[in-house]
Amino acid sequence: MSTANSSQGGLTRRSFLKAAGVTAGAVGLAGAAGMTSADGWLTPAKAHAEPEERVAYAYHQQHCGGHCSLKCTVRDGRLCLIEPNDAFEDPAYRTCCVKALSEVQHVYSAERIQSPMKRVGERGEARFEAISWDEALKIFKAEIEKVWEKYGREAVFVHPSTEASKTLPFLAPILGAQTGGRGGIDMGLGNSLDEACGLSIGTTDQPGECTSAGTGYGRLSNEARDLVNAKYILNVGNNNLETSLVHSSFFLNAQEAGAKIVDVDPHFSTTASKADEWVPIEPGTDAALYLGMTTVVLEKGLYDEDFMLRRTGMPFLVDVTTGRLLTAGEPPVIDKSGKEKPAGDYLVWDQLEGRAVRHDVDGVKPALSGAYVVADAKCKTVFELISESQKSYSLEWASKTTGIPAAKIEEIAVDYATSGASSICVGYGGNDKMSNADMTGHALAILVALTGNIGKPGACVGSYAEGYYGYDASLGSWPLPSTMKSVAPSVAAYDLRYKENGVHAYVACGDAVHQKIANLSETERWLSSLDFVCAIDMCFSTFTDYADLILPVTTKFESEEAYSGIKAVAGHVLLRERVIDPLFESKSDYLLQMEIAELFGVRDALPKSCEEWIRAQLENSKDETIAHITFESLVEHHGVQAQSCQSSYRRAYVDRFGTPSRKMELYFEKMLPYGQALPVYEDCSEVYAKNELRAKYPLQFVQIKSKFRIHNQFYDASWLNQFNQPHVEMNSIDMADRGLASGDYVRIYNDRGHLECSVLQNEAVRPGCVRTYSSIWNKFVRSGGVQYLTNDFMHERCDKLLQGPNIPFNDTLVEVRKA
Amino acid sequence: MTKYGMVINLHRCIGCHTCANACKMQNNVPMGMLWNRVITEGSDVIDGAVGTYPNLSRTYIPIACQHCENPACQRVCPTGATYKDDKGRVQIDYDKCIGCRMCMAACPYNARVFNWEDPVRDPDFNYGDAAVPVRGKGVMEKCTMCKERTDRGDEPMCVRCCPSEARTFGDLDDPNSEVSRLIREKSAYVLLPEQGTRPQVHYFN
Repeated sequence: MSTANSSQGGLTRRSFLKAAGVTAGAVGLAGAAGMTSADGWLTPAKAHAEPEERVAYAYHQQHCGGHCSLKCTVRDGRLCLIEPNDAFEDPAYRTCCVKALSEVQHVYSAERIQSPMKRVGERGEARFEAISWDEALKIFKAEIEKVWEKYGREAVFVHPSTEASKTLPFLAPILGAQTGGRGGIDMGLGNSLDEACGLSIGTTDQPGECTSAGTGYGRLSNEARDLVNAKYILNVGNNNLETSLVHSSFFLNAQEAGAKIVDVDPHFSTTASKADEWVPIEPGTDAALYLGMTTVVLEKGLYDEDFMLRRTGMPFLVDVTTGRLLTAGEPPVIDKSGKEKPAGDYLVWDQLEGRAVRHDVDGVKPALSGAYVVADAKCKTVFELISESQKSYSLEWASKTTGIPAAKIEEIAVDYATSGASSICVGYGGNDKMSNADMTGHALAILVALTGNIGKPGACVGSYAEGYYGYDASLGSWPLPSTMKSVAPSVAAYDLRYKENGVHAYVACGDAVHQKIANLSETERWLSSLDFVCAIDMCFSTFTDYADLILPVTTKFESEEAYSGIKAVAGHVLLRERVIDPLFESKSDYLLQMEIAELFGVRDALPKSCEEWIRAQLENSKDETIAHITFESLVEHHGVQAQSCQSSYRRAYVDRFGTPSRKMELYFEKMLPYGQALPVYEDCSEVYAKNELRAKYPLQFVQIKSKFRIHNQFYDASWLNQFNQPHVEMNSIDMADRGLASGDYVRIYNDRGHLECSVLQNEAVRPGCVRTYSSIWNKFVRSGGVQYLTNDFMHERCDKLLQGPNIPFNDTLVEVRKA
Repeated sequence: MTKYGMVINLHRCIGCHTCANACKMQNNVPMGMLWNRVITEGSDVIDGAVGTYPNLSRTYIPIACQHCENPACQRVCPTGATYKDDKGRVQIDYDKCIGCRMCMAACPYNARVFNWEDPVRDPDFNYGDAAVPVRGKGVMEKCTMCKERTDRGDEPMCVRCCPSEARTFGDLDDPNSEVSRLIREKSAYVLLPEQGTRPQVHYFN
């Protein structure tokens, strides 16, 4: 809008009334009105002459990448006001977002579970009666012991949601239960990107690290503050201006400093609307874009030969008959976790000596390309094989596959390769949740290696949703006796439905099922076969419907004790003070664990208080970057203290990679049996143009991440529901084809199941897609639910990947009709 | 003299509604009402777009009371409840408001909200700043430019909480203030200038 009276929806009073947002305020009312008044558990606060008011400092989420610390005002024992915590020395960290502010209501949500509940109807019927804690704990103990007796101790599976995994670490060891294992989300691209780069191990002049860089979650990027050094930012399937609200400034600052930002997304996202350019792409074809870009880089000779020779495995020799990398024959190395790893003793062709030598010997001058004979074996360099493999991926092919004009792909490739400092930022909501994500991450890794856009100011690759982390110090842990150990699961949680396993009792902490498992009908079938199902949660979520026993826990703002948590992220250590006392009969995660420990006679092995636990995490830390931080100093600094290295910008892989060779390894020998040692383009499982299933189910069903929710949290927050009620959105083309109008109820369906809710027309949605926000609770739609529709396909090769299979939630086809 | 005003950088506005809830929270605004809203211009749906795929554009516009120099609301108020205060803000004296809603009809920015019934709060207690007066049924209300905060020398809550740093608050009478500088250097404009209301909230792209 150039002026207030632009022709597009000028700001007349009439257009104000028409514009979205104006009427939205009224929407949340229905849900809210009956809440506290009806229950009468809170007497409306009249104006007190002298209300008792105090301030408490608490970080918000334990796991969210925003890492906000909040200054909370409490009046007469109630949470009244939330602001960013000013205690951060660097103002860039004094943040909060719309979700944190909405906690003023959300803490008192109508969906809060007010007391322990026991199932009275059939499992899944969601009929419960309130019981006392004494009775609830008695039932819990009896049911667990029954399962132990019948099947053994390992028959119990503890499955936490992402948030709960950080706050209930003692539960599985107390029960000796299975827990952990592969999570199935947020590592689709990272599986290959991190494989190529290895665990980030810092640099000699950099004391701090980001401990999750290289673990498989794509958190390889430089920290967000470094974005300002980028000249060119290619954002692919990464709507970070919605999904990382409190980091939006870094992105906008980079743009103001002169970075060109190009956003590739099927939909006209908020990020797309703020980028210098939006490039729409066919869903699930990001790999074709990367392969096409690589072809351009190769054909135009835009690759960084020096970087490829010094920092990557491009010159490594491959035996073309066996497909194996040539090595010097060193035995495998055993790493800290006892796993066997290649020694990294790969061979290159030394042009000076005219023979194969180890890549890391002094004075070697490796050949980048070419074919050689080593001990009678025909060999080629990795770069040679990539060049050959790329012949299948012409610019025209890439254009046809992605729907992006060839000239645009060429322009993007040239800009990316020649800007001087380019970053590719990927997200967790795009191609990451399609079945071909690992191949996509692999294609991306090769493009990065060719151009050398990694480990430099403004140049990096990775998930910016999480990679913003910067440094994260290692806190110490509470030592548990050897008798108190959780068990690594025999199969991952999502496989419990399909693979042989001995699990007969399932304890969910938070709604891990709705967050992390697709194809809900199959999950229901499995849940109905169990002996005991327990839910530990704050709210009546989708999963609590299936529980036999529900144990209510507090929100992050409530605690029995003065201090309730600690975390170390984004260059800081954060402490969480109690903001308010526990509401209703809920117990803090800490206290619930202690009471369960008491039940099973192991209470003495655990911290006597939450404060003792927090202190132990600080005192047992060996991380020198937080040696200056004590419990007392954290309290004094309002719950916020910087790591000693915080003032420098964290960058990963500055002078070495974490792979066995310490170079970026692009040739995945372990994927040889699956034909993916180098990326071979592969369609998605369902969402591809020529799929015959399209005749029946022509539309992609996609759940995107939004500014209003964190995974499945906050669907019960009336202050957020002012702006967004659960619904799906479609383009006018697809709506017209089906005779639909905004506000209609629709039935979205496929062979797996259905969802009924309202539809709104939105031109920002790509034609051919039905778009909604991730993991809407089933109770908030008319019938069915989002996860009844979703695809849970897995490749055979998935188990070989760093973090195992990614659940392809968005690789889902559906049809829509008026309900 | 002091004349408080605000400048909003629309390119930096990411439509997150944090300002809307910051305002709601600070000022104890009941359910069904917002003093400060973020509209998606020309769209029937939040986060919609103008145009036909893929030729699309989107502009978010946060709108609250524009604290006009020549307020249309003030001119029509029969009781003097609406007034310009000594810091250039438009205020409502709730005790004088008779609920006639003339101001609501007169405001070209649709910035005012009315308590048709007893206010419903969720949660059902008075949240926000203790210094903010509680309004009842039959009373008009709107953005005060966080009078209680700005009187203490703090920024309005929407400015404090905006995650993308799109908002700047300050004294328009001070030529050296950040708001005055932005208005000069960014060719900032006001909404509906033809109304002659002379808003003290300025926007630039």
